[in-house]
Amino acid sequence: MKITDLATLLQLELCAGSLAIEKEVNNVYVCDLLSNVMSHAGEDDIWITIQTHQNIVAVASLLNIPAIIIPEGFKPDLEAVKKAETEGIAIFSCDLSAYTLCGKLFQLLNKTGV
Amino acid sequence: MITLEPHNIKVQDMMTTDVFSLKKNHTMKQAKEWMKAYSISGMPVIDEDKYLLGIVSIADVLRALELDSMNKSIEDFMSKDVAFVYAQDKAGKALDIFRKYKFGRLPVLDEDNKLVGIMTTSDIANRLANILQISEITVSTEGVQRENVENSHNEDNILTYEIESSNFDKAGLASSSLKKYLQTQNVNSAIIRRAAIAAYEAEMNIVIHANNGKISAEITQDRIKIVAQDYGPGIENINDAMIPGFSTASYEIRQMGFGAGMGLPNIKSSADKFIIESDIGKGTKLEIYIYKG
Repeated sequence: MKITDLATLLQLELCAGSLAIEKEVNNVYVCDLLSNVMSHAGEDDIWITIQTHQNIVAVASLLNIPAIIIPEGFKPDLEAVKKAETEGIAIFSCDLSAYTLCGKLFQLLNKTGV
Repeated sequence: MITLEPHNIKVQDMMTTDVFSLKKNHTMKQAKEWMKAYSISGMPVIDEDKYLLGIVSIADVLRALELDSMNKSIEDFMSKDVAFVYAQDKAGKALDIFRKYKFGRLPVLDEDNKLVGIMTTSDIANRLANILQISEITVSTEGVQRENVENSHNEDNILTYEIESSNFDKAGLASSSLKKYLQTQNVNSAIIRRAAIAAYEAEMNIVIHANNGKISAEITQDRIKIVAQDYGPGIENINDAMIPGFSTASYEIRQMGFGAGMGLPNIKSSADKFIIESDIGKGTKLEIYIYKG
């Protein structure tokens, strides 16, 4: 599904990187420990994290992650926004908890099983 | 901050010392790839002793493209009659040259005629903003030192990055820069991913734990070799440090999501060969090999 379509359906607020939102994603990775993200997140995943500093953009860029969602109303730092614009990575903020956000994404991306 | 009277400002007060330069036997194709990877519009060409031989600009690349000569050496296309300034010259002289000739950049030489920096119009803008005390200048993305060292084999490249300890603003620039370079070299994306992970973890280890350090990457036909050398405190027990989850990072650092104790294990699983040497009180050296085949 396109990032922009997910953003509309989940009412995500775009904070940076409008150029990235036409990209397709079909998986999600959730973690706040950057080293875990480095070793486990997949290319073209959406990444959900509560971290707001600019190093999240470095991690996303190294892994070809096109979009980051920051839940629970947190906003990215200004430096993170600037860097995301340069690197072409979308950052969204939303008021949902990470749990609810994941639940909705799980449905929207047609994941099955448990 | 020392306040300088505008007429006393010298070129060395305004120049960028992180110069990205080429050697004359690099090809125009390589020049193009570096320009594209780092969004720069021109680079000085120097010899082994850092004497300035010329300058290559986007215009030269276009000319080579038109002539279908991208595999020819830079020497055939660079401008040899190059304007330059000395580090000790007054900044006004550089401004004068910029105004007259509309160059985008001027190489800066020391008293021995060796290249020590480059001055661009954006350096002037930044300096002016400083003088006018405009705060909140965007952090330069050129913060990483890039050096292209000549090798016996023309296709072999060594990139060197200085890493500052505790500077979380710049953290990740070296590994991003390495990744972007590898992408210009048609390296398989799975290999790039492994190199990026290893370089990132090595870079973060220096930022978090060490007293500055250096990362270099040597890219040859069949492998990528990353060496991370720091002048930090050294690792007390390497076996402990290799255990996933073992960490000596502070609470503050962990709160930012760093220091999870996965750095060295991540490097190990990304590398085909991984050598770690550490001396208490002196520093740590990592050698990471990733084979392309």
